[in-house]
Amino acid sequence: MKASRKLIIDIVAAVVYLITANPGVTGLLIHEWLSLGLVFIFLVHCAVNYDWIANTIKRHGDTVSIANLVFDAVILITFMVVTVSGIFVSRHILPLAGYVAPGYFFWNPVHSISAKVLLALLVVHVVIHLRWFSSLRGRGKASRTKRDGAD
Amino acid sequence: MPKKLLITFMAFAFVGILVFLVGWAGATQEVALPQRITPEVLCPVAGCAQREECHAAAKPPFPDGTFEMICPRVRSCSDTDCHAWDRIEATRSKPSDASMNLWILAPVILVVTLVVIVRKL
Repeated sequence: MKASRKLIIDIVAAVVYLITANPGVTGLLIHEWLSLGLVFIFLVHCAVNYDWIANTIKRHGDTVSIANLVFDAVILITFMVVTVSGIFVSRHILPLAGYVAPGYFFWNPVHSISAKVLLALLVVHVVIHLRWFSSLRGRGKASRTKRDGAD
Repeated sequence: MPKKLLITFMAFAFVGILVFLVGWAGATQEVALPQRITPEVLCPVAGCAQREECHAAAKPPFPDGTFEMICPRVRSCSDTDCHAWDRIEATRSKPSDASMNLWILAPVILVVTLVVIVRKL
């Protein structure tokens, strides 16, 4: 997939995540529905980077790549903790489907704490990949300069 | 791409199931799969038996003077009235300042500092 399309997916994921991570501002209803969308967006984000993941595992990539992969796995686990605990404390979507989940006072603090851990991990994840974002900007400028030169 | 999406979805689902199993094994209170809402089911948050409407869907469960509700902060207290509801409503879904400092400011400062140090080296 083109790098520019990956960037668009990443930007959408970041924006939706930032809105979803503020239920005090959006209210629970929007928070729950956006969260469902976010799961799908994160799924797509992982799927478009599937080749890198598969190559790193198959070819036993360099230390930095493996460390990066392990870090991404930790993000995945944290994200799923947030998602699963969120489903169990759902007050709109789950009752709408006709269900209620016991164990609210277990899942609620798990959801709260894991959401904060996820925020911290995602900040680091973005910083780790800053070079990739900068290289895209550089490529964009170079192709525009080439186009202007050709004119 | 569909195959990659499917494999990714299976990875997400596998981790999700593991998370539920760990929670179910480690929790000290009742943790189970979601159950169908029936006339016998009590509110999982406040243990309220109100059937006609839920007064906790959008806001914190407010005491209506009729149905007994369990306090979310002091689980041993259960009443039709609540003497701390204003405080509970004010702090609900709002992270404390300490929490914001620990989980947002601290990692951002740490990471930015590390990046600056690595670049200078």
